[in-house]
Amino acid sequence: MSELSAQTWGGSAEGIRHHYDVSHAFYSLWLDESMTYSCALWEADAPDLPLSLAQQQKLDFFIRAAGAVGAACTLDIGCGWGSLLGRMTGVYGVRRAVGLTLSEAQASYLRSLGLTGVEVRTESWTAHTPTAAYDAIVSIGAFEHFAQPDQSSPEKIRVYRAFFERCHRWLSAPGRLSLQTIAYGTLRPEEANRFIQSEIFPDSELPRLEEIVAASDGLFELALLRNDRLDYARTCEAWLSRLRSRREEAVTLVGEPVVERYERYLKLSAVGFRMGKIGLLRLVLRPIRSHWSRPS
Amino acid sequence: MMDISVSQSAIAEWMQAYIGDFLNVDAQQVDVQTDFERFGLDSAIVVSLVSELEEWLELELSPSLLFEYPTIDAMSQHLYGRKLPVSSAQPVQP
Repeated sequence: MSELSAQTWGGSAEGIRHHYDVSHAFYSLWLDESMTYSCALWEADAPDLPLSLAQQQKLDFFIRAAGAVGAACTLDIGCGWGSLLGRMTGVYGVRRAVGLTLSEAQASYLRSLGLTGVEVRTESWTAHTPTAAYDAIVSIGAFEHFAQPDQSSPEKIRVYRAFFERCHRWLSAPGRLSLQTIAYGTLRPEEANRFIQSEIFPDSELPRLEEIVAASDGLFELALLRNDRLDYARTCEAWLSRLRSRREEAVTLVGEPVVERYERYLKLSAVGFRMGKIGLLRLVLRPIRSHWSRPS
Repeated sequence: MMDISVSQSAIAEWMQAYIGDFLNVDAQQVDVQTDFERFGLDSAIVVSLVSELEEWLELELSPSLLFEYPTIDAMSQHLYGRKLPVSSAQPVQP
């Protein structure tokens, strides 16, 4: 490990808990029934899918992209409330699916579901030691938490590279890493909204595409890249609409100030994605194994 | 509470004044047919503008409405249209 802070390296547990431990009941009011808290996927041939099916479509996309169908063992880094793990084992025949989260609330909820073949661990990817190689790795909506707002671009790249090195080492052939993350678009880091950085996602810093590319250089080849920022605008709008329709219950659960904070965050995010200030990257990364082209 | 007689032009004028204030120019200088994108509004201003319209017109609005109706003309026409059925549904006083 480096001189970077051991407490926050690769994702601040406090920052994660600040956001995700608000209340399971609160999130269940406005997320879809699978409790998937990340951007849904709408394809051009089915633009009118309801949120829950668009979330399912997103999970399916990442499962197939990573090569997880029928796999013996897979890893989900930042598993949230477990919708991906449940779909891997319940629908796609994965025999053992390991999920990592820093949120105790998410981990205990997931354990309470008692899903066969699902193993949840409350630990960072930096502390994780696999007991066997993974046939596929998926990470959706966790990468945003790996770096810190005060880090320079080279420092961020160093953290991201450590992540890619681990994934590369943990993957067995022909497994892939499928990854979804919000990233800076036209917004410059110094213009980032302080409200979101301090009130909603403390200790989090978005990557830039070029940082991801630099950090994975020589370890992974980019098999697919999409920027589906309008999907995230639409997801935030759907969440906002659902929160508004259950507003009274939400206020009873967490109080007016928290509900207002989330409404503002969802509105700002929706507009930020529409404007292209921030983007939503979906990447499929294939480990470089060939000795024909030795990584430098 | 919104006056049920609010007109499309009143909505347009309100938006001209709001954007004029942000740009530090006279409301009359804010063109109603220019795309919002050209005004250089940031995301926080877009969210505030929509929130204040919601409060004034007592409508629930999507934060992304300005992208769907990208000029003051288009927005005011849309908002007026959404208020109209409510206004027209007022019972006629004997």
